[in-house]
Amino acid sequence: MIGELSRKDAAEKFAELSKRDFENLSFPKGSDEFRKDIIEYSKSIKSTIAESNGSMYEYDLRLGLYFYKKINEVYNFSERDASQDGKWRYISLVLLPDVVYSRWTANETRFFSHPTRIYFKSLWWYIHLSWQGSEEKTLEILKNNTTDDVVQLVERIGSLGYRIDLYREIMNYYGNLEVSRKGRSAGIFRKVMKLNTTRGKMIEPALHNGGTRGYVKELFDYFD
Amino acid sequence: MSSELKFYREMNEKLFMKIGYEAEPVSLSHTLNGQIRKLVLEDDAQFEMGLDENTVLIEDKDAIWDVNEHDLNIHFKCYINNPQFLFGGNGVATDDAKVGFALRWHSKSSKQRGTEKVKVIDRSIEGRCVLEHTLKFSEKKLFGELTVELVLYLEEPSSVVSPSYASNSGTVLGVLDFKNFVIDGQSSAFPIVEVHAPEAPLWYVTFNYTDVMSDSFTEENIAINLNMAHKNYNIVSGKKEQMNNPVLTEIISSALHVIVEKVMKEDDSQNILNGNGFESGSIGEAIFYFITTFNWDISSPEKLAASIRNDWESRVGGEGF
Repeated sequence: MIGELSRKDAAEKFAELSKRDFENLSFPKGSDEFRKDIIEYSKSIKSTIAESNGSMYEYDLRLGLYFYKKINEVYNFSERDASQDGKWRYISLVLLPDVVYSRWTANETRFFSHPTRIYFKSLWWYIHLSWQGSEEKTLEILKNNTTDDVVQLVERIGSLGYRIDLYREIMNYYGNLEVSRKGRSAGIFRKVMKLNTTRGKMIEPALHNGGTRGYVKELFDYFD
Repeated sequence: MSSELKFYREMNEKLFMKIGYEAEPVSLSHTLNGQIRKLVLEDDAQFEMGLDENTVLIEDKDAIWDVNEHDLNIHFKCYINNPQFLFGGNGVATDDAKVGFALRWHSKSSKQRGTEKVKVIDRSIEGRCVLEHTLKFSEKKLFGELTVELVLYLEEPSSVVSPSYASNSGTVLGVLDFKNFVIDGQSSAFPIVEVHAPEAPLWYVTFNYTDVMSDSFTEENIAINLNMAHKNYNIVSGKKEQMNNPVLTEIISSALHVIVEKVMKEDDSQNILNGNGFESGSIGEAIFYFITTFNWDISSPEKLAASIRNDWESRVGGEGF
């Protein structure tokens, strides 16, 4: 079961782990197999990426996909869980602190203090908001993105929450743009997300007569 | 609804009365062993929570339904007795346009929102229009609270440009009704957080927002941090409830000052002051509310500092936020 950690407890736990440089850690009972799978996978992609001169984005993407699949399976993890920051603080500081540490060292924003930057939380929502029905299809549309795209997507939650269907459609459209298309390197994703925030105040994307897809196409076409 | 200045016609009180809106009580159900089971709510719980008539606490009288195990169906049925008034001269759409009705839901505490179309009509509709729809939420999807609105929107604009009428498909023309559902009790508070920061001062403010007009006024985006690692922390004792602690009052006043000054430097500051374009629950709305409702004077730093304290000190120990 995924427990919860209050912000106060998270701050204390973080201070305690930092003092020990994240060494000699102990973990909750029953988490061994889950932890072992995540850690082994993390090591294997790290070495593959080192050999092929890959980016940190590639590491985050691969680990994110694997983590998303595992935690949903093993812990029956869902949107309900993923919307509770207490659970993410628990995952960061109790379940997988060593994995977060190996990616970010003792950076408190990635453990608990910045709610949209908690490492595994941002990975989970990045994958969830991009999900295309299967791991392969999701990987396919995300493989050419960057760490900035993760931030642009996950941090644009708005005051009422994510429109999940809309974001999946945007990620699909963006993922299928030609890499060579000029717009892509010119930060088109950021622009599209900003335009969406503005338009979304008056227009409800799902109610557009071209459907969500038609709405998304208009967003991208605007910058052509 | 936001108070943004719109250049097209929207639903207003007069038109709302003319179209004759009526709604049946909302009913709830869920799947149990492959069958649909009606959810009967605990009446006393509604009463004890002191909820208003638009808010429903989802507590199963027979204690079977559990959001972790069961889905949730919310069934709406309502009527528009005179839908023709939506079109033409005094309506919100031209005679050759199509309008639709949709259920739009959001749950800030579940970090999600969505919209489903219910029905599309045009001028040729005769008699009353019946709207019926069931929103289905799978198990383990929602957390906290849920709001569902019945909205009127433009499905298909007129083929000719008609000034003063909305022209983009998907434009929301009005909210006809809404209901709140409570799944997990209360959440949300003033954005004060306790941190453990050995090198930092007793308190400080952090900003993590991207857009003041849409990001929520919560600790994710703006936080007043009280430092537990500070030697004077015991003076504020970290109890958010103790709002009448004078040191804490002073910290909060100073922090609010910092927040208002910061937000007033954003590009959107004029829109905030005019009450335009921010989403409900956003930082922009909070600042607008502070300035207009509590009479905070932003004309100079010293006036701002004094007016925040006048206001805040008059309310602590009283109703508070």
